[in-house]
Amino acid sequence: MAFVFKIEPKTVDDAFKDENWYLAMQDELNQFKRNEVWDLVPQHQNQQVIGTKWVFRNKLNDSGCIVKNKARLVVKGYSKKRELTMIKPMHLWLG
Amino acid sequence: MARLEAIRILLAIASMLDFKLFQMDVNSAFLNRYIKEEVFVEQPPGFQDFEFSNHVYKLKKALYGLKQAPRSWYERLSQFLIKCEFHRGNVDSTLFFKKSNKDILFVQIYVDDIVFGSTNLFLCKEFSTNMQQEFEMSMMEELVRPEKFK
Repeated sequence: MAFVFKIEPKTVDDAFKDENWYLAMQDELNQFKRNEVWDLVPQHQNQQVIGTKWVFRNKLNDSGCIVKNKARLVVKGYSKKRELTMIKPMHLWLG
Repeated sequence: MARLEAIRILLAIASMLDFKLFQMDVNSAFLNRYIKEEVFVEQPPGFQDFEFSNHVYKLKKALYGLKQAPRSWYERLSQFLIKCEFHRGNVDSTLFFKKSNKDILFVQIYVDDIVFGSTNLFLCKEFSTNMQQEFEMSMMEELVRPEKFK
């Protein structure tokens, strides 16, 4: 990717304003398709449905330059254990 | 889940025994495994299907944030390591080690990152090759501090 966008958007609306972030979201969804992550199905009553949310992060290289805009789709509030989200503060995106 | 202390101890041992540490990570680690539970999630914000806007996605594999995700990856990885004759740490169950003659290989699991080091460089290379054959992994790199943390 030749150009990357520096600011990490907080909302999906902000992300849609920049082509690179839009492509990053599509990358993530394409990867889901390749990996057969999910199927679209009709919703039934009394079925618990978990919300999803986009998280936007810039991937840095060793010298601290932004090399990639990464959009990740995560599920909301299902993980009750705080440690799972807290333990890897920087590593998650740098690694 | 790996504790930061465990990583620090590994760093200390590595500098004491004077061996290099390496790092590799799993590409989309969390997507590697099918989940058993029925989990439904909303369509991604901004990417709802026009025709089926009321539909939901039924997950076949785990997503980030799902509590099943780290666990199922860890289970699969630890099964593989134990098959490769690694021992699991009694105190920290994310630390694995394998002895071979006078040498020892340490492997620390840190979510989708793996930090490993050995008194014998050959063991590291062998481990890296084995992992790449079993999982979709990045190449092994020497563990260095990123510029911004120096």
